[in-house]
Amino acid sequence: MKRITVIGSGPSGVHFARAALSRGYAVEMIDVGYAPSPPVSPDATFNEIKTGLDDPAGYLLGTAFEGILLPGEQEEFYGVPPSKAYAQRQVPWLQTRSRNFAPMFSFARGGLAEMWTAGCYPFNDAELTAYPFDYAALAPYYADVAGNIGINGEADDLAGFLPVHDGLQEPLRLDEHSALLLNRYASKREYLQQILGCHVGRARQAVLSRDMGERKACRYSGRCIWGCPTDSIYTPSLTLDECMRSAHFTYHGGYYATHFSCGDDGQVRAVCAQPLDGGEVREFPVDTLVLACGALGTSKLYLESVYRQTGEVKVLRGLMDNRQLLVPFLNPGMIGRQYQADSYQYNQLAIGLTGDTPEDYVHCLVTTLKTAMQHPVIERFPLDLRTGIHVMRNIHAALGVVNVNFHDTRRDDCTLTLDVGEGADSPQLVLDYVPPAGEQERIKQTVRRLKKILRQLGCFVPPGMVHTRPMGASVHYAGTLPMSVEPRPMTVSAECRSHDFPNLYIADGATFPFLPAKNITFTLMANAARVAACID
Amino acid sequence: MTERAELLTECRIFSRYLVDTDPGNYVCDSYVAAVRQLRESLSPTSSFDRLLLRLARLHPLITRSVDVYARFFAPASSIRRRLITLLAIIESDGTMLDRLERPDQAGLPGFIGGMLWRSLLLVVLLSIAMLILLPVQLVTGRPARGRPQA
Ligand SMILES: Cc1cc2nc3c(=O)[nH]c(=O)nc-3n(C[C@H](O)[C@H](O)[C@H](O)COP(=O)(O)OP(=O)(O)OC[C@H]3O[C@@H](n4cnc5c(N)ncnc54)[C@H](O)[C@@H]3O)c2cc1C
Ligand code: SF4
Repeated sequence: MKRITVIGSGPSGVHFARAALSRGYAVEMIDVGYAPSPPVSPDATFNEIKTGLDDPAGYLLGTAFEGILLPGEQEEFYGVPPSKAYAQRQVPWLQTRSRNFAPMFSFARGGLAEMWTAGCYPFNDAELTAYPFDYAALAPYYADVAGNIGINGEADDLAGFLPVHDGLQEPLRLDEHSALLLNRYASKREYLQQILGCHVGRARQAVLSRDMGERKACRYSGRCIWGCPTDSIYTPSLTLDECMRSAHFTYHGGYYATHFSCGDDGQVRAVCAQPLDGGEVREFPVDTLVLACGALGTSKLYLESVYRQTGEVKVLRGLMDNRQLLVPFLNPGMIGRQYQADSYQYNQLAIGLTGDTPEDYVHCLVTTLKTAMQHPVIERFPLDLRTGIHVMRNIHAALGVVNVNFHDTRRDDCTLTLDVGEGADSPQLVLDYVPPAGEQERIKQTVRRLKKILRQLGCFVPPGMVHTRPMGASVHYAGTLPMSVEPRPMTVSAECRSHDFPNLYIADGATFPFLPAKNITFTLMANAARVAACID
Repeated sequence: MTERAELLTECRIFSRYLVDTDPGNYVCDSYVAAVRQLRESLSPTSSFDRLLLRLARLHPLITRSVDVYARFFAPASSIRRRLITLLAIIESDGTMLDRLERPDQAGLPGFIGGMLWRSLLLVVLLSIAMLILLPVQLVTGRPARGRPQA
C-alpha cells in the first residue's frame, strides 16, 4: 500500500487525508495538534450557562479574566473567547516579523478553523479564471465536502455569485432581526439590485440544520461564540476523528515539522520534526509528502527546507489576504425589543455587491448582535457606563455589523522570506505586505454604497464607527506557492505537485493564484480533496 | 481596611452605580479575584489616575461624575478599567440578567424621550466634573493611562 505523509490537521490537511484514505492510500499525519478541553455542560443554553454554572464568569471570561476587553488594550471589538484559547497557543520554533500584516497561526488539532465562523462560499468560474481548472472541475469536490461536513444555505438572489452545489441542507431558522432585514430587502429588491448592485440572501454555513450521523442539528442554544458544544458547527477535528477510525491512518500529534530533507535526486526523503515534549528531533521517512500547514506555515517550512538544503534564502511572492471592514449599524425598527439569545449567533445573511468586473465582487456578511459580550460595545459609547447600560438594554436587539470582504491579487511586493540571523536556531519568518493601489478609494466608495444600502434596509451607520481591519485579520491566507501550468520554480502544477520537488504536493491556500472576496476554507477543503484524487 | 475589604466596598459602590443594586457574593468574589489577577492593568498609573479612583469609591453619584469625565478625558484610566471589569462580571452572572438585558417597555418615542433627559444630565455632570477635575489633570500634567478620545 502506498504511503502519503501529510503535515497539518487543518481543513486542508484533513480533507486531503480523508480523500486519500478513500482512494486506498495509507496516510500518516504529522501535526502539533493542541487539543481543547471537553465542552462544559453541553446541553445548557447560553442563559442556562449564566444561571446554572457555579462560575459562569470563568466560562465566559476565562479563569484569568482574559476575556475582559479593557479600554485602551484592544483595537478590535472582540477577541477569541477563552474556551478557544488553545487554538491560539504558539510553538517556540516559529518567530515572525511583519510589515503591514498581522499574521495568525494555529497549532490546534483542526487548525484555525477550530475558531472559525463556518462561512462556506464556493468560488465561481469568473473567480477561478486564474486557476488551471474551472468550476465544473471543482463542483464534485464541493458537493462531496458539503455532504461530509454539512452546509446549509439556499438557492436565492445570491446564486448568481455563489454557485449552488449539491449537498446543501436547508437554511437555519432566522433570528428576528435578520428576518426583518430580509423582508425589507424583498420589498426594495428592484431598487437595491438595479441601482445599488446589491443582492441579499441567506448565508451559507457549515452548520447542521438536519441531524447527520452522530452530529445533531443546531438547537439554537446561542453558544456558538464559545464553541458549539454539540458539534452542530463543523470543525476539522471531526474529520480528523473520522480519519482516525481508519486502520490505514496514523496520527503523530505533538510534533512541529521544521523542514524536509531531500536525496541527491531531488526527491523528498524525510521530514524533521521537533517533539513538543522537548525530546530528540525525530526524522519521519517519506514516500510522498503533502504540506498542509496553512499557507503561511507551509511557506515557512518550504523556505526553511530550501535554506537548509542549499544555504539559499528564497523570497516567496504573491502573499494574499482579504481586506475586511467592519461596518456597525443600528436598526431603529428593532429598538425596545428583547434580543434573541436562543438563536444561531454568527452571520445569517450575506450581501453580494457587484463590481465593474466579476472579480471585483464584494462579499459582505451580516451579523446581528445577540449573545456576544456587551461590555466591549458599551465601553465605546460616548456616554458614562450607567447611561451606556441603559442604551444597550434598549438597542441591543437593533445592533448589527456588516463584515465586508475585498478580493486580493498576487503582487510581487507582497512577500515572505526568512531572516536566518547569525547562529539563530530557527530562522525568523518575515512577512511584508503592500496594499494594492487605489485601495483607500475602493474602501471609501464601498462604505458610501453600503451606507445607502443599509438606509434602504431601514438602518443607519453611527458616525465614526467603520473599522478597517488590519491586513491578516481575515485569516484567508494564500498565493505564495501558486499553481502554474508552466513549470516555474516555487510554483506547483495544476494538481498542486511541486515543480521543484517531484514527490511534494501542497494542499493548502499557498497554491491559490487569486483570492476572491470570499471566505476561502470551503475551497481549501474541496481543492485538497481534488489534489488527493489527482495523486499517483 | 484590608485590601479585600477595600475592594468589596469598591465593588458595592460601583455596582450600585452601574445597575442600582448591591452585588451578590459571587460578583463580589469574582471582582476581588479579577482585580488581583489583572493587577497590572487595573492599578492606577499616575497620581491623577489614583485620585479618580479614590473619588469614585466615595459614593455612586460621584462614581458617575468621575466616570463621565474619564470617558472623555481619561478613557483607559484605572477607574474606567475597573468599572468595565465589574460590568463584564455582572453580565456573566445569570442573577443580573434582567438588569442588563430587559428593554424598557416605552417603545421608540419613550426611548428617545428618556435619552433626551439622560443626555441633559450627562452634560450637567460632565460640566461639573470638568470644572473640578480638568484643572487638576492639567496641573498634574499627565493624562491617566490612555489618550483622551471623543
Ligand atoms: C476567528 C476565525 C474565523 C474564521 N472564519 C472563517 C469562515 O467563516 N469561513 C472561512 O472560509 N474561513 C474562516 N476562517 C479561516 C480558516 O480558519 C482558514 O482559512 C483555514 O483554517 C485554513 O486551513 P488550513 O488547513 O490551510 O490551515 P490551518 O487551519 O492554519 O491549519 C494548519 C495545521 O497545520 C499544523 N501545522 C502548522 N505548521 C506545522 C508544522 N510546522 N508542523 C506540524 N504541524 C503544523 C497546525 O497544527 C494546524 O493543524 C476563520 C479563521 C478564524 C481565525
Ligand atoms: S450552532 Fe450555535 S446555536 Fe446551534 S447548537 Fe451550536 S452553539 Fe447552539
